[in-house]
Amino acid sequence: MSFTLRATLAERQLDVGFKVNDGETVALMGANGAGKSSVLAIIAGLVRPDHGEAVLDGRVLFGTGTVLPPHRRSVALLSQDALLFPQLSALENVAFGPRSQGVPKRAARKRAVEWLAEAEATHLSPRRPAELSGGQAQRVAIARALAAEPDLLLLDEPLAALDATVAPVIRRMLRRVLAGRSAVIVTHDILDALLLADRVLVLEHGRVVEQGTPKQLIAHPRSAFTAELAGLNVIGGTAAADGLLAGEGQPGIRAGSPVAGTAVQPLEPGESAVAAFRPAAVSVFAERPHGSPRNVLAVTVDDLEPAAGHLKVRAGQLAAEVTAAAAAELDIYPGRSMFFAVKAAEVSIYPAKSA
Amino acid sequence: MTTGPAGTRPAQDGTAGLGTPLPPAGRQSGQQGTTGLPAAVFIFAAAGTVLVLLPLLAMALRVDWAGFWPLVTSDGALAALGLSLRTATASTLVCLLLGTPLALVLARSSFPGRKLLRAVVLLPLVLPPVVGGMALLYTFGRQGLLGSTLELWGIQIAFSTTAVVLAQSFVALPFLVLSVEASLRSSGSRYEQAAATLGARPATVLRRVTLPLLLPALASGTVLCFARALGEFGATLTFAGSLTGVTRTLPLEIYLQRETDPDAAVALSMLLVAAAVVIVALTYGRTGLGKGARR
Repeated sequence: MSFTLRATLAERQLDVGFKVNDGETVALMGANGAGKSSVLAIIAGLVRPDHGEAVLDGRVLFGTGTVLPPHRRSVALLSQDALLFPQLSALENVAFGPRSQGVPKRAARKRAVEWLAEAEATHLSPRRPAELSGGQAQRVAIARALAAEPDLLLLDEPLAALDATVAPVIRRMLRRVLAGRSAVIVTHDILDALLLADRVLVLEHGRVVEQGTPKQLIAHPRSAFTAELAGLNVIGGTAAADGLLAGEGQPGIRAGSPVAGTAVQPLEPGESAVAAFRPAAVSVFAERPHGSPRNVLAVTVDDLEPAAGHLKVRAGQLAAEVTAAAAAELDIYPGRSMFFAVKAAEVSIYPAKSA
Repeated sequence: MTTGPAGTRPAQDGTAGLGTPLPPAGRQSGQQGTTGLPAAVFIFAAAGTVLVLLPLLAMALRVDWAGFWPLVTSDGALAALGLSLRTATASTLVCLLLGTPLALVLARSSFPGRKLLRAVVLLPLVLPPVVGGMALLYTFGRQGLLGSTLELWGIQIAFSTTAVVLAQSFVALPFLVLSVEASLRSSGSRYEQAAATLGARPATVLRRVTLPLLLPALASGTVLCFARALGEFGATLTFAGSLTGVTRTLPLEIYLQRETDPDAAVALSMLLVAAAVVIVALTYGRTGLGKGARR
C-alpha cells in the first residue's frame, strides 16, 4: 500500500512531495509552522490543496478532476488530543470506524475488542472518555484508528500531550503496532523518529529540505533543525580552503567568520556547506585564547541551563557544555561576552542540502 | 440586542470543550475581580435589580390568594392555558426541526451570503412582534402572498390555531438557532473530522457525533424557544386574533381579562411568572452549576 503525494498550498507556503513505501513509517519533522500538520490535513482531506495529486494504493485521493471526501480515503488521522466521542464508551469508540464502514454490529464489536487488546486497553472498554487519563484515552484512540483498518495511518504528534512517564509506554506500543504498516507521523521528538520511523523528512518553510534514515540525520545533520535534534552545533556557510566561511542570518555568528574543520567529502570552494560539532567539544574562555589550532568565536551568552551532569551555555544558535565548577570559575552569566573555542579536528564539514 | 441564550458561551478553557478530558486552564471561576469595584457600580447594579424585582413583587402583592385557585381554573383560563401549552409545544418542535439545520448550515458550511442569512434569521429577535404579525398576515392572510393560493386549495391559516403556531415559531426560531450555532462554533469540528477520517459518511457523523455533542445546547435552546413561544403576544394578536379556545393564548387572555376581571389577570400573570422562574432555573441554573462542576 504505497502512497505518493505532491501538493502545494499557497496559504501555508507549502510545496511538498514524497512517497511512503508499502509498510514504511515516515516521520515528518520540522520547526513549528513548517507545515507538518497541514500536510496531514491535506492527505486526510480536511484541507484542500491548491494543486497536486495523492495516490494511495492505486486510488487517487485527489488530483486533476477528483477529490475524494475524507470518509472515502481510508486514511485515519490520530491527533495529539485523543478526541474520543464523549458519549460513547471506549469499546463503542473503537467500534465506530467499522460500524461507519458498514460492518454489522456484532462483528464491529468483535473487531473493537481485538484492537483494544492490541493497544493493551482491554480493561478500559466499558469506560467513558471522561473516566480515562490522557494516556488511557490515547491508547483507545490508537485502537480506534487501527480498527478503521486504514490503508494509511496519519499520526499528528500522538505523544505530545502525554506525561513524560506515560509517553515511553505508549511509544513502545506504537512501535509494535506501526511495524509493517504504512504511516506518516508528525513529531518534534527525535526519540519518536528513532523508534517509530523508517525514514525522516525534515520540513522547513513548507518544503522537504532533508531526508534519510533517523540514524543518517543524527550522524550528518545538514540543517540547524536536525542538528538541534541531535544536540549538535551547526554553522552554515560556503566552503573554503580548509573549512567554511559563515553565512548570514545565524544568531550569534558574524557573517564571514572562518570555521576550520575536516570535510567529510571533497567540496568545491564557494559551495554551500555546513559545519557541525558537539557542544562538549566547545571550550569556553573569558579572554580570547591564543596560539592553538582552534576556531574561536566571540559570543554573547544568552542562557545557562542544567543538562545531565553539566551546564549548557547557550549563545545564539551555539551551545557549549561546561562543568558547574568551570561555570562558577569563569563567572558565566547571561549577557556576558565570552569566547567559544573548538578544535578544527572536532568540526565536520558537509555539503549543505540543496534548498 | 438580546444577548446569547444560556448554554451558548464557549467552553471555559477555550478548547473544544464538551467533555474533553483536558483540565481547565489555571484559574477557577469566582476568583476574579479581586481588585474590587467602585461603589457607584454596586449602586447602579442594585437599581437594576430593583427595576426587575419590584414590579414582580408589586404584582405578587395584588394577588387574591384566597381566590387564586378558582381564578386560574376557570373555563376561560384553562382553555387559554391548554391552548398555550399545545401551541408552544408545536412551535418548539417546528423550531427544532427547522432551526437545527439552519444552525448547522450557518456554523458548518461556507457560501456567499452566509452572514446575511444569519442576520436575516436573527431578525425576529429585534423586530417588534406586531411587525412580525403584520408580515405573517401579508404572507398567509387571505389577501397575502401565499394566502390567496392556499385559499384556492381550501386552506385558511390566518386567525386559526396554525397561525398561532406560525407566529410563535417566527419569534422563537432565533433563540434555537443562536443557542445551537454558538455551541457548534465553540465545540469546533475536530470530533467530526476525526469521525470522517474513520470512514463515517456525513449522515453518520451528524447522527452519531454532531447531534449527541449538541444535546445540551439543544436542550437549553428548546427551553428558551418554548418560553418565548409561551409568552408570545404581539404577533399572535395581529396574525391570529383572539378567538377563545382557537387563538386566545394565555398572554392574550391576561390582556383581555385585565379590563373585566383584574384579579383573574393577576392570578394568570403569576402563573406565567412561575413558568418563567422554572425556565430560567432550567437553563441558566444548569449552566451556572456546570461552571463549577464541569466534568
